[in-house]
Amino acid sequence: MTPIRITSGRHPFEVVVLIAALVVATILILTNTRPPAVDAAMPGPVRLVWVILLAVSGVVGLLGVFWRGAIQTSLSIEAIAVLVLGTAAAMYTVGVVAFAGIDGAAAGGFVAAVGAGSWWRLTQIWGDLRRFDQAVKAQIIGEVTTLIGQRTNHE
Amino acid sequence: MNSNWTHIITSMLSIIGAGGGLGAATAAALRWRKTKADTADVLTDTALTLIEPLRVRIQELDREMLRVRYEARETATELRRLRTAILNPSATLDSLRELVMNSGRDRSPS
Repeated sequence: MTPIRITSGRHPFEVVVLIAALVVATILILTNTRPPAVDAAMPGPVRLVWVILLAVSGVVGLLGVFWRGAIQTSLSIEAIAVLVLGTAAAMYTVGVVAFAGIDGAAAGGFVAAVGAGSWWRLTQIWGDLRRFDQAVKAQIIGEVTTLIGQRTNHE
Repeated sequence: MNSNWTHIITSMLSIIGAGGGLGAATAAALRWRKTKADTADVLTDTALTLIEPLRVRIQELDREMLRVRYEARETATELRRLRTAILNPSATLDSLRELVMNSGRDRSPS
């Protein structure tokens, strides 16, 4: 029986970006500051939403990635975080590009990459969950192994 | 770039992010509950699978016990009848022999 391959969220890039989102959001909230690009590109309430999205993505993402329960629960929690993180990164990219133009190419490019990576990861999670559900429905779950990371989930 | 446009784009993105996040959270909560329910189902099925052979065995033993009890009662009745016949003052060897032969025949099979 072919094991179903699930791609783990415990990839160094993803974990570090989620930690960065949490740390940055904490600093912004505690010091009550915002990047100039955010102030320039977003109306008042949206700035608040942006910070909240950033904080939520960090907390929920780390919770989901290091969830010790069922793999499908872990993935669905992680999906919340990467969806939200992708949106927050896209908003910041718009801000950086609008604020700095071509001078913000480096910063905007990296932030856009984080957003694109998050949404890529989101589609990957959706695919994994769909294949997992199909396998459960067909009752062919023998063993679920993760492609990245050491977690092996027996169902 | 016109700041109005960036305001509109970031506002739309924030709505997508917040709404999508809430939707994904709902989906995750539903999936978590479903997973727990499925796990309970699997445990129940496993327990029933383990119990089934024991149930069959208990039924077998029940039947066996009823049969043995019936046989014991029959044997006791038989014993009493034979003892009565032997202790009868008018018993003869021939009548006893006939009694024993008949008693072996009319035992009902169980």
